[in-house]
Amino acid sequence: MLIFSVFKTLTDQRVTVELKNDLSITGTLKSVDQFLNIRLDGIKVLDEQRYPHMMAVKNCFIRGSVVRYVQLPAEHVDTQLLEDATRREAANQTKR
Amino acid sequence: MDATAAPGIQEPFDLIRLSLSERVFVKLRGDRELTGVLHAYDGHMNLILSDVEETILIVDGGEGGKTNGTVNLAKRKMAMLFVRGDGVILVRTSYDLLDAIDLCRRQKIVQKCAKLC
Amino acid sequence: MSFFSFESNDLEKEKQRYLTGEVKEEGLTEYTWGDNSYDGLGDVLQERGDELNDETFGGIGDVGKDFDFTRQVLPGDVPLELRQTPALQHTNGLSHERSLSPPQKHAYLSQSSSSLQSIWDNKSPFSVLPKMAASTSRVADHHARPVTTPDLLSQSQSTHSTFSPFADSIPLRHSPALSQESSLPLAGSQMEGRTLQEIEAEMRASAMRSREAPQLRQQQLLQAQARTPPPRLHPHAQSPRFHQLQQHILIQQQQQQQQQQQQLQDLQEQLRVEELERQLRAQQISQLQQQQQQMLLRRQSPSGPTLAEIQAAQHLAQLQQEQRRRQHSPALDQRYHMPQPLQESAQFLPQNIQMQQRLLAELAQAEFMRDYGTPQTQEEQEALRAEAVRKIMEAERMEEKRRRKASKIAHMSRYNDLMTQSDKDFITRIQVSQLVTQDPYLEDWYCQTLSRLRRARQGLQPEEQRVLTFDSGVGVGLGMPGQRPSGRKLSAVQRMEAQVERIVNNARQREREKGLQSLNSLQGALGKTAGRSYKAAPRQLLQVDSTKPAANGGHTEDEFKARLGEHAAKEAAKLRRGVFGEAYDEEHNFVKQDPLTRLEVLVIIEHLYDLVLEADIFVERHGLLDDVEGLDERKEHRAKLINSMYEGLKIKLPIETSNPHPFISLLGPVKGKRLLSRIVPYLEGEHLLTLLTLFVTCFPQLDVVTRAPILDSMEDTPEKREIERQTTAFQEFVMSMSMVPVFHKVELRVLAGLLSFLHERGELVTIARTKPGLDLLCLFLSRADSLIHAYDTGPEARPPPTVDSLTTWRVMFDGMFDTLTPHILDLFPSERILRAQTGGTAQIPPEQLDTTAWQFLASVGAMASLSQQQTLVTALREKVLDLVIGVKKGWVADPEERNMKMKNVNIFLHALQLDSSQITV
Repeated sequence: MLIFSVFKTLTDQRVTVELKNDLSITGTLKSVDQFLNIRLDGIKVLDEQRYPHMMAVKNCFIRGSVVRYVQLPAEHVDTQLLEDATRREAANQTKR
Repeated sequence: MDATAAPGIQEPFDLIRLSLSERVFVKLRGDRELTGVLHAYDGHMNLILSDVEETILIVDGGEGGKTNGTVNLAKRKMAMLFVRGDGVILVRTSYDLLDAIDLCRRQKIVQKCAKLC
Repeated sequence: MSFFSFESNDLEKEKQRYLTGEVKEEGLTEYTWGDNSYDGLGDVLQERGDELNDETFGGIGDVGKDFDFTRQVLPGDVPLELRQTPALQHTNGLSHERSLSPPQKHAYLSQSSSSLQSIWDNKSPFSVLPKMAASTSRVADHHARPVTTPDLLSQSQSTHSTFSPFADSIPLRHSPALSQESSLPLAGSQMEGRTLQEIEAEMRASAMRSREAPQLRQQQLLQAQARTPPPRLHPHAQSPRFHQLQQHILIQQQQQQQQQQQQLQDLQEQLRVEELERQLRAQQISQLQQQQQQMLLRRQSPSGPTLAEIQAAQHLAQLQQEQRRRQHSPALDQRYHMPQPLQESAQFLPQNIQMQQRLLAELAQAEFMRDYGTPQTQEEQEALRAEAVRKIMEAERMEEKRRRKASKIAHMSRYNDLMTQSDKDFITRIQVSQLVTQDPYLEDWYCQTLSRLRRARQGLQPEEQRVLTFDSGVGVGLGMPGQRPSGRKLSAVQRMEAQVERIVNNARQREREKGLQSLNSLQGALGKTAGRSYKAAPRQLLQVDSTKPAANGGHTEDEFKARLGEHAAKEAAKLRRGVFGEAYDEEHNFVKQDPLTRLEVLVIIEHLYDLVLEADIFVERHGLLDDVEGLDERKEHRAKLINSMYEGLKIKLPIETSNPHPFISLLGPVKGKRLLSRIVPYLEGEHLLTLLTLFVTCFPQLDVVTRAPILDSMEDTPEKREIERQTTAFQEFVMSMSMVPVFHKVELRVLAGLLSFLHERGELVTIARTKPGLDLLCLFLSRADSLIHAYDTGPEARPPPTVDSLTTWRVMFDGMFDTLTPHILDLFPSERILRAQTGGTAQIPPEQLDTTAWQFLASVGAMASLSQQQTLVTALREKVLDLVIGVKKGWVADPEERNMKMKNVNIFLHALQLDSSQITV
């Protein structure tokens, strides 16, 4: 749930999602769910020459499992808080 | 209280926890490697890293078992990166292996001393 | 809806395809018609009589001549249906109304069912189909006697109406025009084929047979009904809820039966009227037929039919058509399509389809029969009967099968409706709560906390919408408008700068208060500040006596120590003793340890973080200690937590424990630096003093100090970057966030004592050559400045420092000043870098590096005595002039760099009541 929580704070930010098939899509993060499925608006594919069929696509829903990376806007991530959250989560996990 | 004597490492994730806000090396599927500062992880090994440098190993040619294909390294940098856990092969924490060995050795010594006393 | 997963559309399509000859027969066996219901009987069918297929299906083109519309006109045939229907109604009684419909259907069907053998042997899709789905109707079918063709026509009509999409709703409206079109040529061609006598004979025979049939059929049907109770009444149904449901169904049924009763009464009425009509019509028709006969006779004569004849024939055909429709009474039709009670409705559709298929098959069969006459010899009929018996057995087997199936469904359905909707909702809630906890701080802590922080930063009510609820939290962002990037980092640097600025401003203000004479004393110190006639380099006007500083303060360590007042020495010793207790005095009474390994450091840090988080959560929950109940307990718990943290920081270990000291090791990693800023707010009084003393004493051991020289390089190496990262973190978390608050609580005499530590150890210069060191010294000066001039006017304002402590501080400051002055240029990173660069292309280090040094010197300058200021000016004169001239002559291209240089110079000059504008080039 931690990562889900993080993505929630990044809604309406521009992110770049890199898929496992090397397709990179930049777009505005509209929503995310606990499977880390991602909905992007106003998307732009990085290598449009290679994926011309994506040119007309303006928004998309990405299944979480096909994601390799998501590049996040660093200025919108509070790393200290994030680490605390991770520690809390880790503590919760061990308590269970 | 004496964390030195009881290092509180019970499971693998405890080791990763030690690397929080430390620079880590991550090996991924598809001949990719990352170094970056670890800020978050979860039970799926999903990671959030900052100040990331990715290295992709690209082997050109060398088809049919021939190993004379050239190996290219592609590098790129990313400020803040979420890495999905299913691609992670290993996370190497930043402290030296020697350190760990050293700790074990010293713990043994301490135990011996305790017995002697 | 469709129980056997039949799609009526598909069948319709299939039929169409067969009719048009698109699909070959071979494909039939492969088609399973829905795996559930197909019992494979189609595969074991005897494949005989293929040779007639072409006759049956092939030359279908001229369909018209195969229909004999004239036959059923016979009056004997007409009332058959009518007689039958009311009879059924009476015998079955109204309570059996529901079960009435199938028998009625069968009455219809079986009347028309022709030679069984041909039906069963026929491989056409329409004859195969009915064998696949088991139903009560099958039973009835197989008791059917050989029936002659005439009824087929009425059957074909009913088939037609059942197929028609409009049939259900408007059975009567069956377009007259259409039927006229189709029947007209048919009638004509029929008449050509046979004589009236033949037709009449045939019809009489069929009427006889059909009259015998109904009673028998009906009996069998009733038996079949008794054998198969409706599935929903199955004894397996035991659940109380099921019984409830049953009752409900029963009530519904009763209602339905009442409705049906009503309808039936209407129906009977209607039928009676219709019967009368029909009889009337039949008379008409027989009259017409006599005419027709005459016509036919005439037609055999060479002359063609007259117009009158044709018209008459048309009229006859029309009437026949009408009659057929009447026979297929609208009321009956309605009855036929009456809504089926609940569980039958599932079978309704397939049955209907079956019916259609069977009718089609029979239609085809009838064609065949008519074309080739009824070949039934005695033997054949015997064989047919034997075959029929076999078929009946088979049908019974299938019936058994159906019942098993029905009972199985009933068995499963006894668990139906065990849970109410609220039960289901409850379980759904449990499942969802597994995903989203009610405590958003546990699972969604990051999101919740960050949004709270952001709201706080924006000055919104922190309480407002504090916790995002379950509903809005899933997959929904917070949509924080206009986020400010990294507000914390900015403030850390700004706070440091603000400190220096305050010192400088304070100094200026004091000078102004003192009057102008002190200002004048430095006038022109940097050279001639006016006079345009001098175009040469500024002439040095200031005559600084180089011996003067030496006279003021000692240059050497010895001198310094000698001059170190008793107070300072005493303070330092007392401080050390107070802080480190006995351990410090008895220097050899502690275990000397190896420095902590990195792994140990990390483990300790993480353990401390656990404590910090626990304390955070504790404070979060019991932030206000005004709840009296359990107050002591909570206080105790809190104190215990804090003590654990304090112990964990290893501050109490003697200074000499290891090098670096464990505490300093803990400050190694960034998160260790950060950790300090998390713990410090929890510490109080004695703990803070100990922390500060240890920190200052062991300052030179810090990684950011020991490794600082690596920064004095223009090369960009990973190591340097790492140290830069550490230095930034140190400045932010340790200095700005931890030490500034700590220094804020320190008295002047402690400051003096701490400064003497550094001095004693001879590490002042080393420290001052690093950025963190300069920051630390700045903190000293800043705190002293505010203490001396009593700017600290907070609620915890202390009494102004005693004369003693002032003197001690002065001595320490002088000592520091004298120690650093000889190395003053070394304080500038740019100078160090330039000196290190030997040969090659010298890179000019950015001015930004020197900012801290300028700030420190400004602080020193503000606090320095007059003579010390003059010393400062002398030492830095060239550096200042370099910068100012460089900027003013435009040698520095980059405007930002120019601004930075001017800013740096001015911050220093302002501390001395000077300004760069006073310098002329």
